[in-house]
Amino acid sequence: MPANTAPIYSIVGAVDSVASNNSGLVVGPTANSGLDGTGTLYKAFTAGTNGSYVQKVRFRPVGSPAATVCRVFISSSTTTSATATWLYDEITLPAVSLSQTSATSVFELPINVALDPSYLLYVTFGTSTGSSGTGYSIVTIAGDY
Amino acid sequence: MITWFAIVFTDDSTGYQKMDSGHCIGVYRSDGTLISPEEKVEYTCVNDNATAPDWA
Repeated sequence: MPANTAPIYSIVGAVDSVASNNSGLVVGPTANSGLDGTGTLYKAFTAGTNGSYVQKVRFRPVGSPAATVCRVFISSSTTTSATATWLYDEITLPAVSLSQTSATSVFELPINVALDPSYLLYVTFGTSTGSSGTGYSIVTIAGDY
Repeated sequence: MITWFAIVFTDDSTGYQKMDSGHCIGVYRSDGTLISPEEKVEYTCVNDNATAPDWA
């Protein structure tokens, strides 16, 4: 007899951001070229106690960031390591020029997976986007079960 | 247009990120050694309008 034949839905929204997990930091100036989940990673989301469905991660340029690649990792532990933290996906982020008369582009990475309870999303950048304050505001759109 | 980012690695050594119109075209140690994309490094940009290094 198969279990859980009925679809489940999230019970409450769970929007989170890299800024909220890193004292308001605009990320991008610090690069980490590693692919193994070690070193400096920025937490973007923590799944709820019953798990969470993560729809997407949204990248809003702040200032005029240089082109780079952002890597998204799934981790089973807040102590990131090569065994507990796994490269899940990448997104190319082009160079962006700040304008006060038109909106800059926003970039979205679809995730669409259910995360285990308390699993986490982390991000890194392959190269630096510029000086302090020039980078990305990264918001994760999800729902907790 | 070529520009240079001054960068500081996690061991406090310095280097440069060479930029061409907003695109990184190389990461270098302060002595001009090019870092391979396969090499794992961590660094932070401290000046996104740095003077070009002597060896450039």
